[in-house]
Amino acid sequence: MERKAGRRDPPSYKVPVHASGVMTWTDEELVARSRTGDMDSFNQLILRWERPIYALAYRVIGQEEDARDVAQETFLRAFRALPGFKGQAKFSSWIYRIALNLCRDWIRRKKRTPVSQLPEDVDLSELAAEQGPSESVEDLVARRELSAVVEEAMALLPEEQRTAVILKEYHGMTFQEIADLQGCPLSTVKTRLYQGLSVLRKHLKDRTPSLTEQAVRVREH
Amino acid sequence: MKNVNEGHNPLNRSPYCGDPGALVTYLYNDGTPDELAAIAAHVQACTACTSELAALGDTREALSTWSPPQTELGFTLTASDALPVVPAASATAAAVSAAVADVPWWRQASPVWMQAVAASMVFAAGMAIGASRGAAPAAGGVAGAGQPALVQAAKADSVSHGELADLEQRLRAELARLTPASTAAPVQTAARTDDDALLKRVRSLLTESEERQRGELALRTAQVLRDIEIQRKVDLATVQQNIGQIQGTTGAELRQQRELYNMLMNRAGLQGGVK
Repeated sequence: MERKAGRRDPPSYKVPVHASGVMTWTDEELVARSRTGDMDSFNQLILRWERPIYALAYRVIGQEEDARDVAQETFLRAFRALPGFKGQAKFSSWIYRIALNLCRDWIRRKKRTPVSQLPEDVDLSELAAEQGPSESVEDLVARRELSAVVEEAMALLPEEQRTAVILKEYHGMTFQEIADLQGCPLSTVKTRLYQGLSVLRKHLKDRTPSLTEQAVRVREH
Repeated sequence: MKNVNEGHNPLNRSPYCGDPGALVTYLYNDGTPDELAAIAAHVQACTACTSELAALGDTREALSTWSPPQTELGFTLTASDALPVVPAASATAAAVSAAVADVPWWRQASPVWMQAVAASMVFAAGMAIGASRGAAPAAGGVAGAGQPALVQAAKADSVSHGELADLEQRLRAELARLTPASTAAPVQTAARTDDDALLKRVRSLLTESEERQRGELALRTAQVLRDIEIQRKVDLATVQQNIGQIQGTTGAELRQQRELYNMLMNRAGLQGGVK
């Protein structure tokens, strides 16, 4: 599940060996077992990574249904390409690369920037149901509005900048990891991030003049 | 891109001042300790960089509000997905199939039966065109003397029997080249010159294809039935679980009602006793 702060979607891939007395395999072990045809092991990998991969696809392409399809296709392709995966990279990096390639294909096929599915009218009863113990309905509405503006602003970014921002902000990758995934120098990643953040900042400022106040409120929660 | 150095104090110049890379490094705390310490020392003394970092920090806070919709995922691989898994030795075949998957459909090789059908259709169309052209002079004659040039042109375009026979030979040769069986026994194929044999061959190919499709359909139907059965079992288990929960809740409510009733009866009894 998503962390409230929006950082680091994927779980740690250095999974502890024992949790509640149950043996938990590392990614590498599960990959090795999957390569021998053990489908249950690969399904465990899917269970571990489906949410981060879906989140990545959704944020890159901006369409819920298509993001689901991309995530599903990612695992299918990974499974089929497993015999060729020699463990030269981490499984997470490998699966992220497949997902990003599929997202890129999707964007090229559609020949357009992602169209965000902005949330419909806010349903107060729904909001009340998901309201946390310390967050008022007004704060929740403000958070939702801000989230919609962020989504809209992200759709304005060029693909490379958007991907760099997403990988850094929501998946907590290092600059080097992003550079490896995007196949560009470290300095380019930093420039993309700075440019992306600057565009986002300007758009958010235009759309929500009280951005600072809202950001402060979000920070307080 | 905006020049980040604008508004920076020239006396406070440092290699890091206004450098997007340095700002982003510091913002995400993703650099070597020495690098981070040097940037931090500059930022503390530079108001422009400090305010830039604060603004970027606010933007990051705003970004943290964006979450993807909470949708049910639950992807699972089934036995049918396992089919493409190949041993490492035949990874080349997988690469070839992947490459084929990337080729647009109009550039992919068609099945042999489809090529045979297409060839026979071309042949039939050629025959029809040839026959209609052969009849054209008569039609021109009916049109009257007002169109002698057209009649001449039709005559000039008409196809002779020799040309038709040549076309037929070429089509048959093409068909024989495309059909694997014919490559094994070219002499035998060449001997089959009548249309009945050709039609028989096309029909047999069609029958084979239909049988293959029927087999695939049966496999898929079995797969779907199995999935439905699994889903039914899961649903049944969920329903039973829910019923158990409802029964538990109802039991608890009944117990509460009974206790309330007992309490009321006791109080009523006590009050009756006082009176």
